[in-house]
Amino acid sequence: MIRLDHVEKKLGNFKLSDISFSFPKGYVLGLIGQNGAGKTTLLHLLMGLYAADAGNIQVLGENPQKEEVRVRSQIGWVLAEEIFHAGQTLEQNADMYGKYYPDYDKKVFLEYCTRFALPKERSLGKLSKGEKLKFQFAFALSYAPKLLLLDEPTASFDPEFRNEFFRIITEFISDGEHGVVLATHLTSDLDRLADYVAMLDDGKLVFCMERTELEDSYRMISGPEYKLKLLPEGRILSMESGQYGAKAFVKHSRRAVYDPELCVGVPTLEEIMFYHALKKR
Amino acid sequence: MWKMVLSDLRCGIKPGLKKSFKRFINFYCYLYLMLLAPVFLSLSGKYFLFYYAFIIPMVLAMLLFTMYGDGVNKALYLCPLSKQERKQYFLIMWKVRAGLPLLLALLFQGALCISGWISPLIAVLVILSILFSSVVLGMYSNMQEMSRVDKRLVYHGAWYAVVLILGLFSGIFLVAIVGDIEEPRFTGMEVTVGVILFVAHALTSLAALVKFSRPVMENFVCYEKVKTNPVQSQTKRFLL
Repeated sequence: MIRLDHVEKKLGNFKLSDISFSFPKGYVLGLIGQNGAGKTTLLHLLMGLYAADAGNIQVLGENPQKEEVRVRSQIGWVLAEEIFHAGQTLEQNADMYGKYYPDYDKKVFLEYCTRFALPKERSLGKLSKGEKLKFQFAFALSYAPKLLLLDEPTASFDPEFRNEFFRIITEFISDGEHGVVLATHLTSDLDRLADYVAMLDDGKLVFCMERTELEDSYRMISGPEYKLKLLPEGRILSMESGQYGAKAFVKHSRRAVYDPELCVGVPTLEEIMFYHALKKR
Repeated sequence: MWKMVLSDLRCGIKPGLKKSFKRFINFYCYLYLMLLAPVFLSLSGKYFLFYYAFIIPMVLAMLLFTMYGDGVNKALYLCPLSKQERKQYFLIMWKVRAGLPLLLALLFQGALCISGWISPLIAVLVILSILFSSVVLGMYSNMQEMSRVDKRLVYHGAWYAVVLILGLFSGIFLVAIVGDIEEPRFTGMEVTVGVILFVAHALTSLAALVKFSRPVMENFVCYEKVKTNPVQSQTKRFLL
């Protein structure tokens, strides 16, 4: 579905360096990283809005810059910014831009508006931030895209709609022919949805792997500090000491053996992100 | 594509006016040209009419430039439109932004000419002055971003300013000095100056068009070179 080979992109003082990963159809890729890590830049490269300075990008089997019409007609997007006209109603906005998508279906759009409880006749400028994102989502689904690129949509959704959103994403990929890239800070969403996780840090790819493989690669170990220090040095990625003990974020392998007095747990995505950042500092 | 352009123009009126009047220099320019200049030029009688028949289309060209000059909806780049279709959008937008002041100019100058208050020659020269200015100002130009990404456009903001200033002087000279065919205020040297200004304006506008229209259009079709949204645009203007 997506393939990047040694992609580089410089924007002002920021640089995405040597990004290489691939991701098959039928799955959800979670894109995590701190603010300014390069998540939005990467999404813009996938959409063909930016041209890579080096490397090769393939989206749905084609270069998004060279085959922009064909690629963009199959990509649905939800971006955390104002895209459409605030002075027009939802229906007017959808009609104006929908006609450029060959598979746009107004009936489907209106059904999603009803499902998301969106007021079709109200102008876009009068909606809340969450409603505007819901509108973008409804519009994206209305032209039957093959790939959804979502840039931090869930932060503004209410809890009820968040469940609906997860349901729709799961339905979307259920036939094995579609894919979703979800850039988010809310790692709890990825715990529920993501099959693959990619982490960016300061323009570099830290890892991109299947969630199960990721969970098998790291461990959170807590216990007395002196026992943690006995672990092989190369395996400890980050350690925090406290009054009552210490916590270490370590590389794990199937053959790893731990002291029975240490408490060993599988880190959450949030912990993986946090301790990678801590390690860097 | 016409529908998209007209819709973008219509939706951009309110935010564009807010953006244009937010900068003090813009507000002051409009105020001066519309209210104070006639006083400083000691215009009276028919010359008021001649002046406003020229200045209203010129101010409209300036207003359209500051309202829409550097903002394009990101949806234009997200939708599956080819580079050719975006070029088409650019050309249509250019035609509308240059055409509106020109249309006003034709109406006003035509009315003055038909009523016999100005000579056809002066009417044509004034219309041409407005045409040159509105065509140059009607080009899309995100001056800060484009001059950063394309060396060919480094000083294009300065050129626009020169075209505008020459256009204003040329037009004002034409109407204030030689406007009235029944009672021409001046002849001789002032007429020569007026002609020189007009020719300088025409040549500068032509040079600006030849130099910048192609690079501006080539950059416009690429989101990376443009990167603005009329709702979010924070671009600092060069002069206006």
